[in-house]
Amino acid sequence: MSGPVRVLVAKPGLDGHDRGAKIVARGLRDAGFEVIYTGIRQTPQMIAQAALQEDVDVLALSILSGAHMTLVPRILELMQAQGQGDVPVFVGGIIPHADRHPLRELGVAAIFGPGTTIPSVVACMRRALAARS
Amino acid sequence: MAAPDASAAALLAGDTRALARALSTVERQDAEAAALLGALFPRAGQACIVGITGPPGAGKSTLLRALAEHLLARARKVAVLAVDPSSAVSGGALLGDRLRLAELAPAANLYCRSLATRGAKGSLSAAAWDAVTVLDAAGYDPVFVETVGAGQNDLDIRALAHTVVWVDAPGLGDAIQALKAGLLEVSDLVVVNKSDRPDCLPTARRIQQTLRLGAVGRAAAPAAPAWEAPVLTANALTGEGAPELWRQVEAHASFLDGAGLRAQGNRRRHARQVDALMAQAWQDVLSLFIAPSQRERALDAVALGRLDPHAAAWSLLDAAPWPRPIKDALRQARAGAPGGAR
Repeated sequence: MSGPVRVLVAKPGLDGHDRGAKIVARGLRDAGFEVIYTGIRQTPQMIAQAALQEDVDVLALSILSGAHMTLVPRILELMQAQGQGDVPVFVGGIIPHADRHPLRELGVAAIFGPGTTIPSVVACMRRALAARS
Repeated sequence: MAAPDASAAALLAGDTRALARALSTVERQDAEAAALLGALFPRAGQACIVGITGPPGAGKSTLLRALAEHLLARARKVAVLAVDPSSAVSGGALLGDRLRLAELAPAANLYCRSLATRGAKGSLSAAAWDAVTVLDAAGYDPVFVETVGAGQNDLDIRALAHTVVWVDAPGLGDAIQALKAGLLEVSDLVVVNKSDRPDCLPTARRIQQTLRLGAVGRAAAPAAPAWEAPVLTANALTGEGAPELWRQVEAHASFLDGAGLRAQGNRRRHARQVDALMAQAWQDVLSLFIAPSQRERALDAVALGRLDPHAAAWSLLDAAPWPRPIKDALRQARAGAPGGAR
């Protein structure tokens, strides 16, 4: 792949806490990524459509509402159905320990909880992209 | 990687994934992109290309959402290319224009793509021209191109679009700003957004008066058929003014057709891109013929005050191992250039 990495930073569901998503978006921009930020209260359909139209290399979801076990599988299904099953999906926010393994089993590339640093997010995304190509 | 013909066929058949990938291909501006465009260009040329420009924060993206909503209700296939700046420091970009459109429910007939400028000098990316061709070939009409928040003297969008809409907002400057040369004077439509603000109408009137001053000047020399840019008001948040704006875009399209100016506009668009592509190729040749070490030495001389920048540029061009015709051409160019004829 040549050119900057394109990443969609999206907030599915009804929580309005977007500070984390904005910090990650800004950090990724400063790491040389092209970040498409679509704001809060997105449905899985809206996120999948944005990922499709923008032909993103990475999808990053920020969820603090607790609805991740409902929203994430729905988004992964839509990505699969539209031929983007190979796009690595990352989840950040408040994800209880018990849910981490099930999410990874569904295909989430990594989960970033509170305290994660931007450099580790960047490194993790780059590793996932290198493994794909 | 799919063959250009297969990608083009899938795109023309309406495959969104193929369209998305084609846009990524043209953004790379490589040989694959050239092959793909060769296949798509003959299918383009149907779409009305509308440029949306104006200062940052005037409400361009929000107004586009209102326009898209209006057009989707009329069963149009609408494309939006939204250009935002790349960071000069990291090369990354935060592309936020999509945020406004994302508030619309997903619609099969709305395609929105965010482009970063990726080092282009103006308020469009180099790939914007090809991206318009791809969306046009895919059957989208109109194709909106939203520029980086633009100001004065940024005329790429004038060459790219059939119709240029200048979006302004109250409170951004006095009457002298509108008198200066710039994009406002070459825009086909002016919209003053945020009509809920009390100073919106006075701003619109002031812009109208300024544009009239130009029309009075032109009346002395009537040459081409004239289009007088209407000044409208809108409230992008509520969608008020969007239907009238679209009516005026269509009126401008009819004017272009009636006056036989559409072909001229297309020619201007293609000329700008052909020239840019040649300039880029020439830039690449230049960097092949002038070694980085020589360039560094010349820059050292400038830093020490031994050469001025003009003399440094010509000494580098002189020293390069050009073939004969280019050496001659450079000599001629130098005769007419500052710092050259010494």
